Amino acid sequence: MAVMDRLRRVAATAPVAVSVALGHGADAVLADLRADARVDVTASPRHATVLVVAGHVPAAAVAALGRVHDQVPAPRATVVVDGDPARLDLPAATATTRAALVDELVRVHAAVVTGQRHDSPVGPADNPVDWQGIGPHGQGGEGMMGGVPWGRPMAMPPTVGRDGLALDRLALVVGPFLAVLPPMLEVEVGLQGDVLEEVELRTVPPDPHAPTPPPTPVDSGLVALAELLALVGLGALATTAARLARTPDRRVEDVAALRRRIDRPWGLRLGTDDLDRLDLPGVAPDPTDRWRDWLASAASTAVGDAHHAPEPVATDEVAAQLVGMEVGHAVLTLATLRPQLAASAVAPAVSS
Amino acid sequence: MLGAFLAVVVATGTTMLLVGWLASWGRTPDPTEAHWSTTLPVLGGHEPRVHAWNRFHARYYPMALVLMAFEMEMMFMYPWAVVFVEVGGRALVEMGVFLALLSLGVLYLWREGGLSWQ
Repeated sequence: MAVMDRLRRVAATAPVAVSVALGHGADAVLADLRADARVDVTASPRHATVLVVAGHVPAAAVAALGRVHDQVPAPRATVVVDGDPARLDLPAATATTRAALVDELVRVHAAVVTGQRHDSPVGPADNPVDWQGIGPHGQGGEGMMGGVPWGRPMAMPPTVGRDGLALDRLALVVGPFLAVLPPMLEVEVGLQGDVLEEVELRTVPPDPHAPTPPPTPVDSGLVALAELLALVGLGALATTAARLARTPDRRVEDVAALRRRIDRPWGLRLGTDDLDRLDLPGVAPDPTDRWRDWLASAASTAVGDAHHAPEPVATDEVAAQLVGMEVGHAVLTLATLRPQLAASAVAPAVSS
Repeated sequence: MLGAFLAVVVATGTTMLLVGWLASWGRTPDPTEAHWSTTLPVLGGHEPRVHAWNRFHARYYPMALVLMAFEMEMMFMYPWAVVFVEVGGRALVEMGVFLALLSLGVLYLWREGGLSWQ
């Protein structure tokens, strides 16, 4: 026992594996977490110990938040930043402020690892829908292999797919809390293999009477760059970009230094150079130019120019451009549109 | 002789003890006992709408057919060629039947588009 206690104390000093559920206007919290060495921001709740809920989560996304909460493996804990845990249906969660967040995370993580804290799941313990077959063992009925197993129909092909074969198309709705997607974005996809055959993008708008968030104290372009770098696996550079994003009086030399490190054929350009070009109003067609624009904007605000808020894009126009892409390319493309999509989640754009 | 038996007995005993000790470490987790909502796949907040049982195209299948139709055919034809003169007409008929059956595979492959260059 003494050995286990000692091991738990050692485990408690490890970086806190954190999954971030981002609401509206949470770029500052995300940059704080990426920038801090005591925190390890994971791409999936399955790899996390603590779930951080940041920003304004609309009432329409509370049920989805509960599902993400349960997907953090036990023992888990939740920390809500500048919000009300009761409104989010997470009664066991700890409420904290942005300034005290990382210290609170370290405390909560130690409590979880030493076995003093475990938030119970909030979702149902059993599948609300039974297996619905007609045979004595639940087999038989409608569908490819019979029945509607656990309330879900079999994936059946609606049409003959892109290669002339009638294979099953995987229909998925991902988001609004998927870490690889811009915040509050839901993507409904029909996949055949790894190619997107049908795409629909939806944003979850803020609640009508939600308080207007204060202007974000971080550079949202650099936060988007940090997320893009983390997405392609350049974690150390993502930390650098996030630190730069939350520095109020950043120096133009630091922005230039970051650009020198990533704007190389074997740097971030390896991930974005061969993405499909986009034809969207107000958006650079070349994917690499889009993150170069973020760096240029950060450099110009560093020398005192006014910051230009990103223009929202029409989600249906973005969706039309994603059809036919491979999944990885589509995810990267959406990541290069992060500031615009975040803007359209708050104030949707009308398609031209 | 007795020494050999003793070695077997000691090895068996040690193995059983080790396996028993490992088995007593912990139960195998039973997935049906898990809290249901914690077992859903991670989609960022949504439940899957269709079942995960999904038909995929076995992409290696045309390639396997090409190999069967042309490579294996030749493999059988070499020993056949050695005994062909000896056996005579019967061997010709047998190989004809074999090739006819194989050509069905080639026809199927043709229909699947396995012979078109992509």
